[in-house]
Amino acid sequence: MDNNKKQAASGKAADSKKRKEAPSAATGTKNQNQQGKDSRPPARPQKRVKFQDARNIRSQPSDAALDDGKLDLQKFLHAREFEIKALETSMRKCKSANATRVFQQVPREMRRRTASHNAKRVPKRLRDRAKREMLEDNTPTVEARKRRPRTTRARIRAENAKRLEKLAAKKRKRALQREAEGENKDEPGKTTIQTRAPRPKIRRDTLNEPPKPKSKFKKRQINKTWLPTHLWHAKRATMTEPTKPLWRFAIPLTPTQKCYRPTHRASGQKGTVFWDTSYMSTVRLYGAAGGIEQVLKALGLVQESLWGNRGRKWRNGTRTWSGMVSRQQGSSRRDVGPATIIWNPTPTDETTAPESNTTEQKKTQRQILIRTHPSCFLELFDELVKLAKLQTPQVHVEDLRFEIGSIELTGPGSTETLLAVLQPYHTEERHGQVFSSLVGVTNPASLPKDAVLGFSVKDPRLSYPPKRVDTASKVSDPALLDTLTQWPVEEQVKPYGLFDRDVRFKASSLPPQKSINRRKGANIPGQEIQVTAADPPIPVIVFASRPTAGGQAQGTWTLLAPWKCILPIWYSIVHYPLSTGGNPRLGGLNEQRQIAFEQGTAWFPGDFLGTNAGVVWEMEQRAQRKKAWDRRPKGKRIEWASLDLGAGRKGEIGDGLACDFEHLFGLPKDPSPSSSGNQSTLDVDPNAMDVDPGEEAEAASKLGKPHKDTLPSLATVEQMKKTEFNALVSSANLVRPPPRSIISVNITFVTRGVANACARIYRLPSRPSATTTVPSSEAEVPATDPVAAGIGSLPADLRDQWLQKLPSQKSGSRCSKTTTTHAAPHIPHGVDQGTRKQLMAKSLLSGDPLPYPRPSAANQTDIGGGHPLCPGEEDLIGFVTAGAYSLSEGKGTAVGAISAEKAFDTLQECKSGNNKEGRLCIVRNAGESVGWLARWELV
Amino acid sequence: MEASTTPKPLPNRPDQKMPPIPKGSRIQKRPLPAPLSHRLSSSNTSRSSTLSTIPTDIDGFRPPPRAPHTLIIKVTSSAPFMSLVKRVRKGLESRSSLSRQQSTKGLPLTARIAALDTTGGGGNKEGGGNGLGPVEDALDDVVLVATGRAIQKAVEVGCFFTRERDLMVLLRTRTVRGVDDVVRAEEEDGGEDGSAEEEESGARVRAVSCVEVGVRWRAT
Repeated sequence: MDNNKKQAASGKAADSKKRKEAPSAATGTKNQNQQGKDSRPPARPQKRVKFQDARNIRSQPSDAALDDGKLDLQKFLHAREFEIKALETSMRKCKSANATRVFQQVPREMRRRTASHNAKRVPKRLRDRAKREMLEDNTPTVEARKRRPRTTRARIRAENAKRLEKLAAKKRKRALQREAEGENKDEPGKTTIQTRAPRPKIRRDTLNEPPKPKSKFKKRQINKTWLPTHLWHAKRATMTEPTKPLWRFAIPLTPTQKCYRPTHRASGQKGTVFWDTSYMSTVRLYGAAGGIEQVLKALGLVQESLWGNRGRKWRNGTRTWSGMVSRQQGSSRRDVGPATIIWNPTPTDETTAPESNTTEQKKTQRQILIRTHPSCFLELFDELVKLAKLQTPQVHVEDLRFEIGSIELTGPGSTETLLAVLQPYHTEERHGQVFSSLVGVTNPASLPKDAVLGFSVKDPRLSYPPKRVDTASKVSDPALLDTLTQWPVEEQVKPYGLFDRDVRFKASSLPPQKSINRRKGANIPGQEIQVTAADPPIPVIVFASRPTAGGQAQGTWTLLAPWKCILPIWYSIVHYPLSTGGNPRLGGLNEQRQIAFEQGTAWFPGDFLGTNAGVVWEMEQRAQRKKAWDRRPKGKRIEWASLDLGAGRKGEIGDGLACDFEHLFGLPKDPSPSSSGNQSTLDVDPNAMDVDPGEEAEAASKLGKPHKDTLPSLATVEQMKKTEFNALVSSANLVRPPPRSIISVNITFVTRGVANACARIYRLPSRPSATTTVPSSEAEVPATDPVAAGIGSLPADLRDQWLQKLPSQKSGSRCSKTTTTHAAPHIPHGVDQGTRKQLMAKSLLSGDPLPYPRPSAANQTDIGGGHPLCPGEEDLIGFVTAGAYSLSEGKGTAVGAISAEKAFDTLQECKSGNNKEGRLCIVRNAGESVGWLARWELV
Repeated sequence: MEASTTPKPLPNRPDQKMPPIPKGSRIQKRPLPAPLSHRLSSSNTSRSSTLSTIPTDIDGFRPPPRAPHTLIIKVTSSAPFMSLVKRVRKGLESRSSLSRQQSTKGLPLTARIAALDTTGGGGNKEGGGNGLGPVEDALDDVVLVATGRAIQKAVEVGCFFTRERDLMVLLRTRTVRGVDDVVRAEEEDGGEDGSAEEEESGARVRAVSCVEVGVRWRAT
């Protein structure tokens, strides 16, 4: 009976052509299944029997071994042996018979695994079993009924789709007809006019439009742009929310599968992590060399080393420059964001000639690429346009955001992956040769600093799937060492193709996948497709960057290629079989931040509060945290006002959900995002920054009323460079850093502790000088009255208490502290009743209470028994922007920002004595009363 | 005595020393190349062909090929001792079954056939390969690689495993070539900031002593 039902159901399913139909006995191997079905019991009861059988552990009653009340040892032991074996087999059987389904054999990282409802997703050899299991388990499948549109809107959409389908069919038919007619007619007229594909327009000195999406995807890209690999990513990663794009892009945040630890491994020990960083913005600047130099100098590239003889390599285009660019704002400079600058080399024979004549050299036409982060792109672009217009002859700016895409790779296998994917098109190209000779390099940081290679590569689809690079036979140590030390890229340098619009355009019109497949089909299996005239060379620039941390840490490869060539390259990278096993791992924005954090470096924009982009990021984070906090029930969220910091201090310092530099520097507070409703002032539209936002913010803050569409008062905080700060500290004359400046620091906990974002950073409290009034003795303050004990009653030896937490002095500190703080008499253990009574009487009479019950006011002199109190608010110096347990350090680390002025003061104080104490700090998570000792280092 | 008579200088004691670095410059080390392991992986299975394709080392030494299953552990000086021991143990345990029945999974067909051949004439081949050091080395299950301060730690871990009766510990010394950048530091910056104030003016090769401790199951 149920067979009939099933048949009917399957018939229906077949009619409606649903892919995810329930595999039923009627489809496919119909006869066999039915026969089998008749003979055996229905599926589910059968399975239950199987379970029960597997779980049943056989045992022997123990009295079987008793022989006339005597224990027959041999029999007894045999029985136990049998039982143990039965237990073991049952365990084994349970495991196999139990809940595992066949799709669970598919590796976890494969998308196909998410397919309990669709047997077609599992590998072929497992398909039959999957079908059977679906029947047995009565797996729910998608029903046509549920697919019917439910809401009015969905119904309208469905109707629309149906109508469009009809239209499309009609159109297709017409086209076919026309083609059939045309075949007969157009034989002689074939050589009429040949048109080229339209080249995308690139306007100079203005922003350019994103590429026109296919009409199918147009609606989804109204207020954002997709990366070239969007469709691939959307299936495998958590993307930014559709309504809340990040920097006007749909950016993958993190892969869907768990990957924190694997990412750590792949980025440091074995494997590769790679990102599609096409969202990074590229700007081309072209004009007279002198003009370009002026523009760059105005952006803060004023170091002598760049423009003198020593920066020659950079200006020749064989090295990159990476660093923060800044712009003039009023009387001071303000950081814009990180940028990488690459010069387009001039042909070598030209550069040798005008080397002598500097004026002529300045007049030569040069080009540079500036690659920057999208969050600061607009700021930089406006500044560039402004500066470029000032130059005579004028320098021009071209926005190449959607012309040039990029991929980043890091990890020991990154070089290998790139080598397999990028095969030089012309064998005689110098840079291509150098690149292919890098076989055996396992760390991009082992290349010369900031090395650039520009060449053209074959279409990676021609050699798809990518083959493993044969390292065994090709590697020769001396040759590789020669390349790494000599780095012979200076001779015969040609201009990079990527700068050339025509070359980029040609590369963008790659032959379609269809034709590649056809050529592959015509080829002998396994043979690579030969390059023909139809395959244009793809111009690429690859550059290696070292981590700022230095040491043995992994560097990063960045591959720049035309926007439309990113996808084929991407597919090849994804499927490259690494020599250490596995494939490269996908990374998202979070992974980028994670790797930066593990290397102890600051990540843009999250850790750069001194830039506008960083401020915008922080504001967004605040709003997010606030939202999450609001969502929690009242009893389960941190009540900031009732936080007990000890010694009578109540309440969190500043806003607990923010890196509250406004509080630290006494800046005017902006309205919180909740008070102004959903339309917050905080999500500053990056396109609305036509007016100089910093200046306006300054004006607004002077007036005391924050204005909509302006940056908050946090934007008046300045970032100070490590070198500047170091110079100030080491100089003899006491010039203090500007008051509202911060420096980025990397924090490592000395012993225990893990910091979260927004954690408070304190310096060590200073020892009270003789003049400061300290409550004469704490013992005299009645312990029952915490209010009286309240303000200003931090212990005088707080600094020493903290210093005792340093591990080197541990042994001495513990006993001394216990003697000082817990001086009250204890009743010793193992004392007889009489003495106990005597002691009790004595203590009662003397009026000195025993430590139990504890005094009602907790956290008066320490927190939770012996842990020192946090210093006062005057010792607050900064906030943590990113913190976690670091897998590379094996303990908690954090990246944060501290006030340069206070840090400077602390270092000056400690200069005379122990210098190391100046860099000690106390980090306390927001909403917690316990702080931990840590050490900061400049980043 | 003998060293002086040999025409070829020792790799780590060359005839001519490197010139001193120019005044005001300092050395910045680039990361060391990865241990050989990462390079000589499972691409070739027949050992004789592997041997012939391996290029000689800088001092004429032909590095031993690694079996594809060999686990390489890079030892750092800060690594805890017991953690290293545990990692070695873990590697040995997972490879105990592997070494007995070598998997040919994922290999091309020809390689699988070749593997069949070697198992057929196993005794024969071992007899031939007895004299060759490199072939023996390929049988290491776990290799600890260390340079500099970490050498002591690696040797300690190796010594720890010598007391296990069914394990064999071999110790080899090698020379690794590292690349150094000669960097000119500007006097204004006292710190070790590398980004803008410095510019490399050359690179030179440095020989680093390296120790490899191979741990393997004793043949049963």
